[in-house]
Amino acid sequence: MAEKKKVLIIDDDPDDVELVKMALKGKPYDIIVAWDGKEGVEKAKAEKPEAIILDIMMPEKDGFWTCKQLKADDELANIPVLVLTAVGQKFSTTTYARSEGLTLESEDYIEKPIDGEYLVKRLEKFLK
Amino acid sequence: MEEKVKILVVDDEEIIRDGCREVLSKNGYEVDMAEDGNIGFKKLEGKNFDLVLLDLKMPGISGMDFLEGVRRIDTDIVNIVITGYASIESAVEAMNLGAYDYIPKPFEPEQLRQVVKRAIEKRKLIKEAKRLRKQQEQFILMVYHELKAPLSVVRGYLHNLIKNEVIYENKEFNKMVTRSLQRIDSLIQLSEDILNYSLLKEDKVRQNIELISIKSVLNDAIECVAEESKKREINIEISVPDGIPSLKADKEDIKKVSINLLANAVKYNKDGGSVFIEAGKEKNFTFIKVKDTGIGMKKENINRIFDEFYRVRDEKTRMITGTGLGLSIVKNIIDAYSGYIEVESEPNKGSVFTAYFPIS
Repeated sequence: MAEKKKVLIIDDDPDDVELVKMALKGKPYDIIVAWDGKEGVEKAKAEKPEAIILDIMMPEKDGFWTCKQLKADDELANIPVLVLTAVGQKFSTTTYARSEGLTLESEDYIEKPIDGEYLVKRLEKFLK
Repeated sequence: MEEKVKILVVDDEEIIRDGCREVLSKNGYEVDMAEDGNIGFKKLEGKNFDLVLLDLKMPGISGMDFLEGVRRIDTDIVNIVITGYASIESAVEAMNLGAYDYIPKPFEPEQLRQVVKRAIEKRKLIKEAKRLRKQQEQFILMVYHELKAPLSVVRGYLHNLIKNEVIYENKEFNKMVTRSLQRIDSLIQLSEDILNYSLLKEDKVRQNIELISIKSVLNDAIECVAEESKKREINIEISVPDGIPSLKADKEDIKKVSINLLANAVKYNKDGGSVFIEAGKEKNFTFIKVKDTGIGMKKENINRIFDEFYRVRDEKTRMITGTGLGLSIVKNIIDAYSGYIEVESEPNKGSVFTAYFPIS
């Protein structure tokens, strides 16, 4: 049997985590959960997942911060990051986002609501 | 301390540059100089200037071109043009290009001071408008997120429920429906809170000031949380001594404060816990105190709980829904009455919120 691949999800919303778990149910993935950006970076270092699903709007350390940390770390920079967020792409065009320098270097960007099949498809693209 | 106003003087005549610097430095402004447009642009790149004083007639880059360049770099910089040939036409042209004012050469120091003073006022207004715009944008973004996130969750659950012809095990089915209902309830509360909060921002509190009975307001508030507290076997005790001064206030305002504090005391309590409500008089204040035996908070969170949309997030609060606006509303109402609120909290022991309203 093929070995399970580790996927780290960083999201503060327990229902989103639940929905991702439901979407990946029965698939060969081991799901690790981190509830905020700081914990996410720590778990990424410790677990070396093969993909990271990252939320943006989180209290304390948000997805912008987390993505920057991940991409600045030589050991983690190659792990594909799928941003999964309720705030659409238009967010980054606002004066607020621009004045705060909020930009993302993620490999993919999926807007909520989570469509399970679509999420699996996008994830598989990186895990082949 | 307020930051020094930064002014850039762009003029090919040394005597004008030095004159401007001498006059304006005395007023405490930070003055930088450039003898032509190229140097001017370089200086603009390196520093955030508030004002530009610009000679219209210069060799090299013309004043008009420079003005257009400044507008491209930063539309918030206030430009004043110095018109050498005392022609009103070039001043008008410059103002059409976005200059705020002009000074005809030759000018007296006092003239310069006056024009600069007015321009600084303008600059302050521009900055304040920008700050408000940013604040408003941030609020709208938060609302957008707070609406979309739960709706997405509910949609996700419903989608899963209908997609799976083989119904999930009962437990899983129940969980999805229960969470959907909780998230929807929270959305309904959010719509109320957004309205309340926006109205407060426009000082629409304290409309019907009358002598109100705190006891009856608190009893109304208890009614609002009765169902939830009963379900979780949380005991609510109220103690209001006879003869505490009734409060002169808008009943709805005090009710909102009480309901929010009480709802939190229940929400962040442990099953089977207790809530104590007390009201009384302390010096020149009437106070309402809500104490719970709940999960409490760490010190570093206490200062932030009144911020818009801030919610304490950890393993204990993860499943608790909330709008993040309740305490912002409480704070705004109390501020509107020139009162204050005190918070004491200890993790795992509980929290005490005391709202003080001055006796007028």
